[in-house]
Amino acid sequence: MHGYAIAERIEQLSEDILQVGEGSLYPALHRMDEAGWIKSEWAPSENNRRARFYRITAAGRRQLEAEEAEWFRASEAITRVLRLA
Amino acid sequence: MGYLRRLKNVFFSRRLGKELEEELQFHREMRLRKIQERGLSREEAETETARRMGNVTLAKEEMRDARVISWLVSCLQDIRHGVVLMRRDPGVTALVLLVLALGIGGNATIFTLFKAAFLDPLPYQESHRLVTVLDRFQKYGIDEANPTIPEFIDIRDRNQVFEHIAFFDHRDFQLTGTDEPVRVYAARATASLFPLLGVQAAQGRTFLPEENLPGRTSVVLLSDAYWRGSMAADPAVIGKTIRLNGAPCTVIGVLPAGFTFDHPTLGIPEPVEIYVPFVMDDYYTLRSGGHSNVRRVRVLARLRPGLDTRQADADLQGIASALVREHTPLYQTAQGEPSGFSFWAQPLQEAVVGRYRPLLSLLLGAVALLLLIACGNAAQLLLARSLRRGREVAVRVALGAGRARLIRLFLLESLVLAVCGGLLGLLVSVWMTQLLIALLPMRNSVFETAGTDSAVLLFTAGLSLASAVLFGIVPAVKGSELTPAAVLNVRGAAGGARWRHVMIAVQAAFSVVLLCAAGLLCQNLWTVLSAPRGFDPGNVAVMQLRLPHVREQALNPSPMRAYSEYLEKLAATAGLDSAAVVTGLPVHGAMQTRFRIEGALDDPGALDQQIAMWQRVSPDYFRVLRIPLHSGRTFREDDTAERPPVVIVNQEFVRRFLPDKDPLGQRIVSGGPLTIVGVVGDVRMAGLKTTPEPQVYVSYLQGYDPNIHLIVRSSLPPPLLLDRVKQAIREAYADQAVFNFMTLDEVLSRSVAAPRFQAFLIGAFALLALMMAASGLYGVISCLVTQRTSEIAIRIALGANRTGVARAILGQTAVWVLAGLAAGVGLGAAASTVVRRLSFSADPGEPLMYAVIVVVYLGVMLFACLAPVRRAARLDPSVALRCE
Repeated sequence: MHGYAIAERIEQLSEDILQVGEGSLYPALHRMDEAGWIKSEWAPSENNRRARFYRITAAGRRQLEAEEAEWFRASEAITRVLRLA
Repeated sequence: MGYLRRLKNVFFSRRLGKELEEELQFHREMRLRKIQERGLSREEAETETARRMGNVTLAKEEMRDARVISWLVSCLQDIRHGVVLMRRDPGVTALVLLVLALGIGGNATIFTLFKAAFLDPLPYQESHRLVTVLDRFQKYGIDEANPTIPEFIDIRDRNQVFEHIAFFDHRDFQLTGTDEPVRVYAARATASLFPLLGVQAAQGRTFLPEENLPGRTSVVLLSDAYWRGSMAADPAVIGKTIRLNGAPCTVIGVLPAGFTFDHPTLGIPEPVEIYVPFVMDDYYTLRSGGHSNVRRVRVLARLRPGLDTRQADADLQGIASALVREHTPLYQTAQGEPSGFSFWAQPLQEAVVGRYRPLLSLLLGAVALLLLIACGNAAQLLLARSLRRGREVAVRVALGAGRARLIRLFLLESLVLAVCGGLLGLLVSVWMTQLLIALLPMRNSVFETAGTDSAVLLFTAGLSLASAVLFGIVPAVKGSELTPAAVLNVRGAAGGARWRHVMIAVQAAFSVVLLCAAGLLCQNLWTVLSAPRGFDPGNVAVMQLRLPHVREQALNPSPMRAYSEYLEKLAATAGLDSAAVVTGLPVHGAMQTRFRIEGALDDPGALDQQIAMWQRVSPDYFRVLRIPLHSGRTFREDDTAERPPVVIVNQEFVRRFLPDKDPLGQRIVSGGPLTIVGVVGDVRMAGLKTTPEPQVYVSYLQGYDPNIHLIVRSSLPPPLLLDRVKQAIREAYADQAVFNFMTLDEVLSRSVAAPRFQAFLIGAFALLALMMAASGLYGVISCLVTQRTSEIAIRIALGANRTGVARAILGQTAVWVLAGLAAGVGLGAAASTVVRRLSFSADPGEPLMYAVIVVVYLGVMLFACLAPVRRAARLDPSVALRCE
């Protein structure tokens, strides 16, 4: 997917609660590309212009799993504190 | 892979920027279209898009940061800033580049010479295996005598360590059969010389071993220069016959163009034109009685692969011991004790260039000091500049720069200056190297091939880097110390004064050390130049003759009559005042011979001392050179071999050996009794020695030497004089060549070439150092005046006069300058033993010389302070204070 499509999808899935701005999206994409978690290539897009398309790599999937697990642990802990405190 | 791409992105930043912009532009268009679908007008849609995009610039920066090697980018930025600063401050830049170019260039030059002599191998095949074999006589303290030919034969036959062994010496030949007889300088060698050096003939062949045996047809090998010069590069030269010393010789080969073997340090004082085989007849090869006819030659050898000089020494030691056993009388002193004889092998490179090590070391030390002074200058200028940049540094700190980042910034700016200075220095060194080689007091082919090559480039690059750190570190550390508050609130920056004073003191010390060295060398030069000569060189020309063998045989048993004939013809030549012949030459040197005083006790201690310069002269010799005759008479034409042998001695001889007697009529013994008939004034015989030596003169008719100098006094211009002399000589004998014509003044000048070269070169360095130190002081005082303008204005307003102002400004700096001066004089005096050893100077520095140096130094420094101090004293307090 190219960067715009990623942004749209995030908005879609979160029912417009999460609106990603370019100020954070693209730097993050490029950093992840350099880290090797995603890879990118230029390709023609739907409106006949070329865009940079990203896809996740195997290393990226492993990183995603790790960060996901971390996120759920943290949010669980916060929810517990809020509920009990 | 990613790393390489990131490296490329550093340098192709515009391409990266376009890519990033393209990606964001795509996003913007998609967003715009999406918003427009919701029904907003174009304008509103664009506003909304812009809002949604947010801070695109920041986003682009972060994207770029992820895609490049960030530290490299910031380094490049720093370097670019360095270039900007260079352009902004052309005065400072010019000064820094100038001193760096001089300092780095000077070092590169001396390094080029040093490398050509000591680091580059000699231009022969596997030259590390080449050695020269020398005699050692421990009892006499002689370490480096050449072996005799019988010794060479024994080493050749008995050694187990050498693959090849050869010897050579040199000889003058007369080439006849052309318009006029020409003298040709030849090397006589064994056939093994060329295989030993790994040289093959470019045309024809080199010698065969049989050609060293007596009774073979004479052959000759031409050097490339001789073939091109004197035989016009004749393509059919092989097989041609030339007449050398009256005998026909066949040309059998021409050596390749790059081959040179005439190193003066190996005993070949002039460039070799032709090579002839050394004819090993019994005259040379037998150990005929005593030390007579036992010629010494330069021996070369090539070690077998894998052997070193230590093993060679051990083998040679065995041969030497055997020789001492077999020929004991030859290796004993006059008293019958063993003379401690042995052989040893010296690496050929050491024999060829070892003698230059002291001079090059001296020069290397001097330029190193010069570079340090130059770095001091650069450091001061940069320190002043970095303190002026206080505000810029404060802004950087406020934007988040750490101390290390600032230091890196300053160091990279210094690196830019150092690299530019290094490049300029390289240009300077290319020019200076050629100049120095042309002016060197010694001729050696290793220097003629010296040039700027990759090793020199590497050295210059390394030196530039080292200098960058050396002069950049203090400005970097001091410049990055400034905190924003300190700079933005307080007026001006007063820091760094102590460091600047330290640098001034260090520069003072180093430049004074150089001045002391230069002073020492100049003092020695002066001593040598002003020492009494004992003769009058004006209007005297000298030239050399070698009596051809044919003529010697024709006039047997008195070949010296040929000289009488020449002198007769010269006496009849118009324009000549007087002429004489002599062996050896004043200032040039002559043979030394032992003798005994007849009637004196044979005290062994005294016998050792009885050695004197020995020269054969014709009667007019003293008149030509205007050497005063103090008592007795000069030689006469009837002091021939049939008459009693007579000698003339000089005053030093009388002073040393016959102090209480009338020398006339006394006899000395050297190969027979000789009667003293005259006493003449002392003549300086060695260019660099200034104390008189005992001299003995014998009549040219009472002994024979084929090699002679002809000296002529005449007021004719030299070319005309040479023509007339040649004509006169040829009237007496048509095949006599005359060569090495020069005026006696030129001989004198050449004899002091080495001390003159050293004095001038080190003197030039010292002057440069002095100027750098002066400009450094000027910079510091100027800076102080600017910094303390308000203080000075107040002093003037309160009534201080000019001296008061001067004292205020200079007071503190003067202490450091004087401290540096004192340290420099102390160091210079301490280093004087080293300088004297490296330059072969005889005398230590005199107090007067040091006094002159101190006075000159203080004078120059005061002059440097003059302008700023005068500026300060002229300050108008009202104007100065208001400008605050």
